[in-house]
Amino acid sequence: MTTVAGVVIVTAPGASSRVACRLVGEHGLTLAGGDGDSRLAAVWEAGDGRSLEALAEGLLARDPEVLGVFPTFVGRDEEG
Amino acid sequence: MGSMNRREFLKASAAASALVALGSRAQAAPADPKDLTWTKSVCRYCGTGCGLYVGTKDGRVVQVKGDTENHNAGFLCLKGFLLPQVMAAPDRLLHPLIRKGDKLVQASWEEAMSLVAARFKEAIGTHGPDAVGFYGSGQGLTEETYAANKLFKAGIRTNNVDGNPRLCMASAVAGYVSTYGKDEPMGCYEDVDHADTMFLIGSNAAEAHPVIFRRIVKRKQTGKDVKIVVMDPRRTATSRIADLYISFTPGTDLAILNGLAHVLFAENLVDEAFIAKHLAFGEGTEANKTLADYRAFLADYTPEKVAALSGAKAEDIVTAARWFGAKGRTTMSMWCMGLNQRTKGVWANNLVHNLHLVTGKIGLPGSTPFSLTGQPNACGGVRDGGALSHTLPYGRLVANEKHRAEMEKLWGVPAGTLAPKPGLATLDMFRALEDGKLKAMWIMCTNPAQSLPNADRYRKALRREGAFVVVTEAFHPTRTSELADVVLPAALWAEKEGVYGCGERRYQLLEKSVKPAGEARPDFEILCDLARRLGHGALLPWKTPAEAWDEVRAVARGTAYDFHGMTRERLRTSHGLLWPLPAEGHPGTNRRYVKGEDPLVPADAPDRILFYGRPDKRAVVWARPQKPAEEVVDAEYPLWYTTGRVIEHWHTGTMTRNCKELRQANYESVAELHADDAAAAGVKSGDPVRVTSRRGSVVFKARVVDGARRGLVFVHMHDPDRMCNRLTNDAVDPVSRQPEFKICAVKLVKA
Amino acid sequence: MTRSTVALCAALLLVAAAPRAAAAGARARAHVDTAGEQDCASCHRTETPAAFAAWEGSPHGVALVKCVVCHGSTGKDFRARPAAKGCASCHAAQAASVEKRPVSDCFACHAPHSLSAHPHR
Repeated sequence: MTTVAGVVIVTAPGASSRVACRLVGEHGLTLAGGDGDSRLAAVWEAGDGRSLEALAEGLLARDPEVLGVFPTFVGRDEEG
Repeated sequence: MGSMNRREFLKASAAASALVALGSRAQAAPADPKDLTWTKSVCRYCGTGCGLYVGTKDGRVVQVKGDTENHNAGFLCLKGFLLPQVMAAPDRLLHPLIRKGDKLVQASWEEAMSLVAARFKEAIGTHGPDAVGFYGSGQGLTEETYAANKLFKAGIRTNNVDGNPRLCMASAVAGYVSTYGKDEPMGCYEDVDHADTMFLIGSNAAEAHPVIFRRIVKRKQTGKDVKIVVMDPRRTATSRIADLYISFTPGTDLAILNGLAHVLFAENLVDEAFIAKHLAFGEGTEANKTLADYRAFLADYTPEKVAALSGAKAEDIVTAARWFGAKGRTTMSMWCMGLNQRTKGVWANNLVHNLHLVTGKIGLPGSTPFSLTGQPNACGGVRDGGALSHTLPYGRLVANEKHRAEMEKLWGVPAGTLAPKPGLATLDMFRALEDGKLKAMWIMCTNPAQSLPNADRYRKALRREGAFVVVTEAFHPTRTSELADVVLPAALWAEKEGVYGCGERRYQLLEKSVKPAGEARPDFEILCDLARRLGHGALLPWKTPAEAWDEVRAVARGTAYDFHGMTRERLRTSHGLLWPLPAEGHPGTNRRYVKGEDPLVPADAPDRILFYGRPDKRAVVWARPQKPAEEVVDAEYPLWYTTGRVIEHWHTGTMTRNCKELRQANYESVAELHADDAAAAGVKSGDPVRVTSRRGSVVFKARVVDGARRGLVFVHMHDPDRMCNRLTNDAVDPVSRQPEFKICAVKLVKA
Repeated sequence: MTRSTVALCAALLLVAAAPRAAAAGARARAHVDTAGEQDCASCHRTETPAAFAAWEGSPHGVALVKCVVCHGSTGKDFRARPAAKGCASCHAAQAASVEKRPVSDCFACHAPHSLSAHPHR
């Protein structure tokens, strides 16, 4: 079962492109766009809902320019 | 659907929702400081006059940084740093407005100025020059105030020219003039760095002059045995650094100041030689008393009697006096509205000067009586520029025939042009509006419908049938512009060039950084336009403030202010210059009246000091008795009411309330109370209370604060929706005509 | 075929959505939504008493360099951890001296809020 979530990642003002570079290798995270300033849109796929929280905690802990991770959509693909 | 397709669908939905949630485009990313264009300027706010650089990108002000080479050493308070938000505020006025019925509608400049000129001409033609008036501001640039002063006094020929410094500095002015013969402090901010003892009275410098306060704190930390005395009915943030804090019943500080003088004499801490050489003694308006008379006057002000009267402790008064007068130590006094905004404001100022004079602690690094100024250009523009109803530029007086003749010559107008009688001071001008004698008023760069005491009365006057009120403003609505007949959009701060003169006699050039917003124009241009339309274009023939500056320098030449050496180029390359500065090579003057420093003191003067402001070359020690405030507490109105400022905001908040951090940190005026007063009213912090004076009634949220004085309510002045001045008393000092914002009587109930 | 369940979280208000985000399973370092405008002290005196007391007794506390100066407002511009380069606005000389030394930034030595320096921390 995979959770698919749309998230908005809020960064420090002006930091979104730097944060984006650092997220390129993030497992399960696909960047979808941003506002060029402090917000990134991304799609995240992972094993189950609890991991979304772990993703958020991990990002916040590792990257001081990440200020928040907000889900806008959470869907579960029961099958794959 | 297969799971892959489902997955694709989910991912697409997820991405779409995230992108939609980004909403509209965010603001542009903050610019890298290296990409910005930096222009040298001065802070728009208080009289400290911090130097700064304005950073612009793509024609917008995006950042501000302190000028490390100016007196503020690169420091700014939070208000100064947030100025960029003010420039782009959503309530910037972009177009002229004309009143049609009960609405203000957009108009063209031509339409608006034609109407204004017509109404002014009509008023002058039908009722004479004194039917119109100009109410200016200590925030206007020097050249703007100079232009208005010249137009109204020499062109229209009315002395109804006054300004908001009447509300804040007039008593300090009259104090300096009556004591020394000339206005303005003789010391400078650098004196803080040499002061062993500092007295702060009637000043909450921590909130109102933060960068000066920082310098005071620094001195306390780094100096040896530096002592700070703070005297204020309220224990404010300023008192945190006090070695001695003295509270007292509002209005009894004159007794305390006399009490200090009493102790100085009793303990032989006075400088007899200095007294003999440099001082005269006076009472009332005559400087014809003797030292013996003064000592007899002081006899009654024993520490015990003063303590009984004021609520201060006798031993604190003695300690304070001993610290003040200690031999071999320097003493600097600083004060502000607590002393000035009083019906006995001039007297309070005299009494502070007395202490420095009888001890000789004056004219030495660290020893000086230093009045703190509120507005960025009260000194340079209105005080020095002589734009009050009884003054002419640079120390001259309307009532002085010789001075009038000088100005007529300098201004190239026929002898007899200038009216010989002083015009209307601020409240008198608004009262003339009220009773119909004044038909038209021009209000520049200030917000009297919020800042005048007893505000409801004058708000009515501004809307009186038949009154024509023109307001030049950068924002709309303000509490004043909303009442006007014509509102003209004024260029704001970084959108224009000109000179500001701050509290330490430092004149500085504000360079233009960006174009005015919308159709806004600098007040300088608006006034020159008005002059042309009224037929006085020849008096204001300039296109830019820089063109007027040579004339301004020429008018000051030979006076006690002489800053002829401050050419525009010199101002441009310097980080402010202190007058007197009579010749181009001169470095400027840190300490006036001091031989070797002040170029107006002859090299062969017999002593280290020469008080050249008065014909007898002496400063006057005035015997000023204790007198209470005009309105004191009584059974019906049992609480003292006082008003003031907080660090987050400035004046009526038209600028600072546009900065989100400042608005958030201090959103509204609240009634600051002592815990006992709150308990007596049955309220706690956050509860609404109705505060009522004989003049008005306002509901505020109560807030119990540490440091509040029992029986005293404090409300700050920065909230347009909860105006503290609906309650304040418009009684004035008889000499300075400055109102008593600081003291009146109220009652308070749970609302 | 298993139906996928779809749950849509309303999260259009980004930074101020911290409590809601918490409910949805993600934590944010944005500031709590302050109902109306209040001054920082009214909550932080009791919510973060150590930091508040440290600040109040520090040079910043005495000089009234209040929270907003370093941390911004509680809106979009909130900075939970202010960038040390902000210090340079007032303390340019000191900030420049750090660039020459093997420390990362001001906070390597100056404890947050109290600002007291511990060079060998």
